[in-house]
Amino acid sequence: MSALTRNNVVVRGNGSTAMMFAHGFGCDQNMWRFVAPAFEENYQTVLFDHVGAGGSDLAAYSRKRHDTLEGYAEDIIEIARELRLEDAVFVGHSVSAMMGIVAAAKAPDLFKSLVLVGPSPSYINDGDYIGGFTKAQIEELLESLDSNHMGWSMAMAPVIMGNPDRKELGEELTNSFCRTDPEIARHFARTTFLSDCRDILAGVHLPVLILQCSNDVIAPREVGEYVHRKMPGSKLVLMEATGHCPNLSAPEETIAAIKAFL
Amino acid sequence: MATPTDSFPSHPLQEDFEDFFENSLSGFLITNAKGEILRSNSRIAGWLGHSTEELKGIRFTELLTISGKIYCETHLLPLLRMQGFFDEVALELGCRGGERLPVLVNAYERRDQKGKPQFIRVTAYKATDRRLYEDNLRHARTVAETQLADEQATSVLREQFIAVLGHDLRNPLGVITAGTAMLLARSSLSARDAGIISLMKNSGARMAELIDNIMDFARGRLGGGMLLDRQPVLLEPVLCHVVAELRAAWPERVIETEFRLTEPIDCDAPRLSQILSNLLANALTHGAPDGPIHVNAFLEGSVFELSVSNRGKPILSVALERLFQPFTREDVRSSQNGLGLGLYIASEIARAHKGELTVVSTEEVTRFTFRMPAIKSSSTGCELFTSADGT
Repeated sequence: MSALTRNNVVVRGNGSTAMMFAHGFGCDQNMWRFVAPAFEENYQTVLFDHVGAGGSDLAAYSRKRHDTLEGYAEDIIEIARELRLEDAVFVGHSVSAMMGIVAAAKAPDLFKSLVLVGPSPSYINDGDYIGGFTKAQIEELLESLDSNHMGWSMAMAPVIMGNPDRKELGEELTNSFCRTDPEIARHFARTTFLSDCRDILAGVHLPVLILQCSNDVIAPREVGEYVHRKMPGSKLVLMEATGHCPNLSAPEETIAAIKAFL
Repeated sequence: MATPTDSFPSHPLQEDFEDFFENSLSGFLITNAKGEILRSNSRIAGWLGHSTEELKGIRFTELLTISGKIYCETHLLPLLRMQGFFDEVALELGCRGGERLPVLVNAYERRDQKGKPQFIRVTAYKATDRRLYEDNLRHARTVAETQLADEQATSVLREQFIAVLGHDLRNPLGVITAGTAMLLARSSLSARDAGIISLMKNSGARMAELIDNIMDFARGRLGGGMLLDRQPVLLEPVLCHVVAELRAAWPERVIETEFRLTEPIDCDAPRLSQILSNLLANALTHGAPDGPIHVNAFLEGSVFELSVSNRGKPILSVALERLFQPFTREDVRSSQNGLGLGLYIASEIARAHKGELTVVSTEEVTRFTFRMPAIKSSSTGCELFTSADGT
């Protein structure tokens, strides 16, 4: 199958340089809806959904391939190859920031620079390293996803699609954005929050922009500073935006920071 | 948990919106666009074990347990920003004493004319009982899944046992059959002894057939499927051979045949013999002993048809419905019936040939008809036919 169908790739804009936007855990390409249009005038924008999210092909999900960030990075490389991208700008939010680093290391010709929004190479505190969470806290998160306490509202299609007689089940779900298959979300959470990419940061020698929010519980300031220290070519911008999603909560500030970097 | 405002107020109670807000059954939060609490009601503050004053300025995700925080930051807040609301989200409040309070949360964002978010309103309902109910449902599902897995494992074992038993019965039976054949070849037997040995030989053949049926059944149910070996065959001699065998076993009965088969038919001939053998044995067992049995087979256009008709009491309509199911037998005469696999296997062979086996039973005649599309091309080779129940 084409990676473009698999990942529900949407290409817009004009320009010889492409900008690829990758969403993080818990959402889909809608995450970029207030940011990406600002670049359409001068760039070709490429948006996509990770397999399991949004309009991606759930059948393409593989427990094996998508067990590591490397598998997701392979998906990104395949999309880029199919679109014949070269020297593109990669913009990755949250866990996708790390996928971008993995992809850049595997396929050095693809990207000329990386924009990392709220990146974290590892979420768990480890000795001197501050990831923001204790191991027990991450285990609690994964456990609560396993028991599906929160899945009620994240749930989408498969259960419902398997019940053609009960279409009303699908219609009751009012949330139309950021839908995720609950099984896949569970596995993706595991892949995301147990990943440790600290060792590969130093291996990427591209211009890198790190956008660090204030008051971000998921990727606290210490983490952003750690990434900045480990990546020699990086620039760290501390944003006024709070929370983990400046692309939604503070699109103007996000756009301005990326434009200044480009 | 303490609900401070429920204590007796010093002033007379007055119904107003202020009282409604503070003492509602729901917890209310109003935050700025960034999610920092501007105001909370005493209800939610009481649940959390804080005063409303203490909650001011805190990001409301801070009130949640760790997994709720992550869920909120990665999913709920984006959702709120994109669609303006979220509904019925199950979260847990992390209270001051360390306990957790399951709540259902609704929230919406108020925006100005340009669509810029101004503030967020959050309503939380206590959902302890609902959480318990959900936990029970999940528990019941886990138990059901475990039981199902156990049953499936037992069922597989049982079918394997049948297959092994069927296989192991063949060897001793082979010795008996060979022994009777050797005895019959002797010229010194009295007529009475020869008769007894003939009966033994026929019973042995019948047992071999039953064992074949059991094996076929076990294989079909075990997911091995029915393996067809289709070859273009002139069927008449094949069918005549089956009829001759059964005539020999039932010398006192009349079996009349009419065959119009001039061209080869692409089929698995031993399997079609099995259909005829099963149908004919049925007719001999259940049909009127004094009535003739008719075996007709013809090839007309692209249809091959084989039918076996007998006289006798019609099959009860209740029994007709289940006739092609495994282990179906007429209870009244069960001693003659064997395992009740013959018709099931015959219909499976029919299905494997993309044909069908049907039955008509009236006072005059009971007729089983096997009909299949006759492919005259010379395509050969094996094809695997998997039983429709997917096992």
